[in-house]
Amino acid sequence: MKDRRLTRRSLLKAGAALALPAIVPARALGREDKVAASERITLGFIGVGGMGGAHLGGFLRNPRVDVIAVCDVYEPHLRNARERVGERCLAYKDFRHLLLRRDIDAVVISTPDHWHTLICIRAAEAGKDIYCEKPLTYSIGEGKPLIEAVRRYGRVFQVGSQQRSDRNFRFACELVRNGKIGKLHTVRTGFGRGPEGGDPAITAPPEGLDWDFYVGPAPMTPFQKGRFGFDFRWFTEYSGGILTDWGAHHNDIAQWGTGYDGSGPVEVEGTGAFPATGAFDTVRDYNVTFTYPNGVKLICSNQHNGVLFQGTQGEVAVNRGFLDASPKDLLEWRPGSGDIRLYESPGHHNDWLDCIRTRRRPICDVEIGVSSVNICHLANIAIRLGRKLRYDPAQMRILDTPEAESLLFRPYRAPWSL
Amino acid sequence: MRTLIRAALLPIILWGSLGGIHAQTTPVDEDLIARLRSDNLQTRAAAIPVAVPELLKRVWADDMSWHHGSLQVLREAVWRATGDVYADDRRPLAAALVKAAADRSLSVAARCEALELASLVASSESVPLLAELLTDPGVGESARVCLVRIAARASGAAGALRSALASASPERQVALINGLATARAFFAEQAVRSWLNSPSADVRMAVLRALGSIGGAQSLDALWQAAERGSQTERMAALDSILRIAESLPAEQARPVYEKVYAGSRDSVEKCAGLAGIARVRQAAAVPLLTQSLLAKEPDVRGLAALALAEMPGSSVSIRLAERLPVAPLEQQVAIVSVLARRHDAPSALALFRAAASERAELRAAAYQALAENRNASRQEVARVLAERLPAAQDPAERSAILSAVVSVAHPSLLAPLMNEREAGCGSTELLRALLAVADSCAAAGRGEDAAKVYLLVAENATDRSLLRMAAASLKDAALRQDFASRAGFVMHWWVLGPLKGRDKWSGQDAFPVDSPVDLSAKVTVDGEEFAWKPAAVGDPLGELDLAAAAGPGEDSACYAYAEIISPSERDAWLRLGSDDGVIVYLNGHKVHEFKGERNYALDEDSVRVTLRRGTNLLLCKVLNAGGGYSVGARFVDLEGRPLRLEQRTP
Repeated sequence: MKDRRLTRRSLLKAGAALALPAIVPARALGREDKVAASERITLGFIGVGGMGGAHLGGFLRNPRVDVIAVCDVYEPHLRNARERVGERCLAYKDFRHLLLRRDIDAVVISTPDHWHTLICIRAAEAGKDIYCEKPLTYSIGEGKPLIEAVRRYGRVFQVGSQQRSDRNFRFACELVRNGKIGKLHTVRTGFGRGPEGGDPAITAPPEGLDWDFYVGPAPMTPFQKGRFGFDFRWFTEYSGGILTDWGAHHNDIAQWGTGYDGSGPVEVEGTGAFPATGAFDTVRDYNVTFTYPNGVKLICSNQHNGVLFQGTQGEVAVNRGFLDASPKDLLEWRPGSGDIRLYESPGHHNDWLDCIRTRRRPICDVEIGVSSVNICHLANIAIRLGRKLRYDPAQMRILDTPEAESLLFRPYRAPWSL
Repeated sequence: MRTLIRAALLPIILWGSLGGIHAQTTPVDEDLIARLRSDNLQTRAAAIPVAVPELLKRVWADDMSWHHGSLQVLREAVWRATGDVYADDRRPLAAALVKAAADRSLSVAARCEALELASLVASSESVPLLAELLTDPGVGESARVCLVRIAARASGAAGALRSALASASPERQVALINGLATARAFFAEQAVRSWLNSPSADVRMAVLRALGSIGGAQSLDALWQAAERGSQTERMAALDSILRIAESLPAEQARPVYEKVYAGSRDSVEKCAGLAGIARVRQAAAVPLLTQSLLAKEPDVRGLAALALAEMPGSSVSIRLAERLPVAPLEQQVAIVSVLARRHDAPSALALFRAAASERAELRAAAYQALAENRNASRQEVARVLAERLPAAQDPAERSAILSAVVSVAHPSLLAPLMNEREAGCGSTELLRALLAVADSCAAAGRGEDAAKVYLLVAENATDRSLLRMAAASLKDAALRQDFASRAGFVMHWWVLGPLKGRDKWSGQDAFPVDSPVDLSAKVTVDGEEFAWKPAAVGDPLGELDLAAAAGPGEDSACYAYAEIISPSERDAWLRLGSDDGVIVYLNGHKVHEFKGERNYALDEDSVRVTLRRGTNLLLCKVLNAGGGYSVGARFVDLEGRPLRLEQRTP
């Protein structure tokens, strides 16, 4: 893959002594291997299971941070995380207690999706900078309150759509944005089928899990094994299924490439199929078409894998570890001084840490994360309603009947509220 | 029967979601579902009251196909009814669903599902029954959610929530207050506020939060009092509601609220919130306060002020900042420059060019990087400024700032001044990094030869491994086959012997004496097989010797690579090497290094302090390969990391 020069660009910049004088001394940017304790960013982790555990590992190796608190509603995860961090780390079951700590600068949120927005808003209110896993919201209706809260408190917010920090995805989007494939007319995204299955047996929750807290703002249901752990995403009570889980990655890139970050399509229609057996109930097959104000179509279906931008003079396809283009020489293109250059991140975690210091917006700011996941939510709604919907991306509203608008937000189970 | 129903429902799932496939059902089911799906309104209306409870009976059945199938049929009917075409179905569907929710012969789970579905189609007609269900121990919570969800279109729904408040337990009061807030039931503001004196802390907290959604200016006093007197969590909730109310007020009413938050702030979080609000409602009029805040002691506040100034629309903001720039103290000047960098308009670019010509070196240094960032500043013009300033810059910080800006601008016109600097004896890593960036631009502009010169220059002078790698990669990309590796001091001429089967075996023993000079003409016999030394030249710009190409494929094997290097004098040096996978290294008959793990080749992965003797030095590397390709690369650098380009014995 001929993308090394793109790497060089970021490496050269990263190596250059940046003059970012207003906010912070350069030493605090972590250019050095060792950062003084007083300059390290103190982190709290909320959710330390699968993704949270992975993030924890990454940040524990990062000399720019100190992890001083972890939180989880599942005791074994909590215990394990605390052991990984060490004695200096305090463990909490209730995120609200963690957020009250003044000595925590920022939080990493890796809970199931239905918790993201509520915890993010409370974290913003508590003055924490935030890294939150994708998909950022559970419903379209959560987006605006979340953005407003982050802006209200001036927080630095990074959404965990880390493909934006991958040079292949950036390069593909730069090709598109600079017109190298001609006039863009279609984007195709896909990520395989959603799963069918899941043990339907109703059982007691595992020992150490506070099931009521885990369910939180979602509707209470009997416990089934898959509802806890990785498979939570295949239950509509907690997630939008494959369309939000992977759509938050590839559709995010589609919007980056089309230039609709922070905005979205004006029409959507689609079909899909749901599991017929097992406990899972999120969409399995999907074929959804979005239309953007400039006429560009985004077709998201399980007939495709990755992101394919199609223009009048060429195509570029990108996925994890994969980049191709037609004509081939597009891969040799380098942006010149007059070309559009997209935000170049030094790595998703480090970009966030840089921005915490400089108080700039990271590569996947809250508004981007909300708009990207909104189209995934829209896809789910369009499949359910089975008709073409008009959408107002600025107001984040479906322009349909008031009844259809009910699908934009699911009221939280008491006692939780935004 | 179960099987039959399952068989009936499965195709319906497909029909409902993909369309076009008719359900194959038993007569009863087929008839019921067909009537539910009929094009005739009266037929559907008649079928709904029967079908809804019938299907709900199967929700949460042991057999999940029943569950999915039943729900899917119900959902299909409800989702369809949310649209205009089937709008007439809403009324019978809502009636049937709410009635089923009240039917205690159904499971609680099924009744909850009924209310979930009803929330999409119910109207004010359903409110009385839903209100009754609010106190139902099984489905009270679902009824509340349903009322909240329909409140925007069903008169009386929010009223039902409010009416239930007085007689509810504190726990349910919290739920009802939350519901009123979610439903944006502004008319309930006073009723909700009256519970601020509740003995229950949970209720008080719910009120404080709810007022942010449904409160107006008339709730501000109560919220201020709570913020002043309450606990830390109550203060946070109250202030959040105050701020949310302010966001809903006209600018002139919101302004004093934000100013009060700002003035009364107890920490940087509150100060930031106040400042952000002031910036939002006052826009350009807030510039003096924001500019002053660039000097705040709290980094968050400084950062928020900078961000607000950077993103505030209107060139008048840039003009105000530009006017402030010459008279501000240095620290503020530097901060203003960093804001101007992000404003990307003509006044900001102009101000930055002026700052770059300032008499103060610190301000100039900040301005260079800001110019590099500002998209309104012409790249060519910025390059001209940097080229002019570079030779004159004496202050190391300013010089460093220029070179950093060069990396960002990377205009080809900067190549000559940078090379002049180089020829004048300035060879810092920063300069090489800047040269590399400009060389890449030259290569992109078709000036490959100029670029190649720089890449080779970097090869000869870089003490930084990352720079060397980038230069080598550039050469590869530009298809410029140059003697990069030799310039970087790599061993270019090797002799290889192998592969010898058995990595583990050879990690602990050798096939010949390694503490005496290697006889390259001698054959080595291993397990009856005879091996000869073969010459092998490095063709890779990163100095990597491909042993699979030189000696043949070598899964689970060892292979020797031998070189003779001639040093004009005895000297201390660093041996830098990489290998794929493990390696044991002997220099002049002594083992100086070993790595027995698995890894890919990387330039300069290992560094070993060695002493080179005057004359010929014997370097023997035994590469231990677990699988796949295998390789080695080595070079000697001086103690400062500069390449030693030593003479080597050639075949």
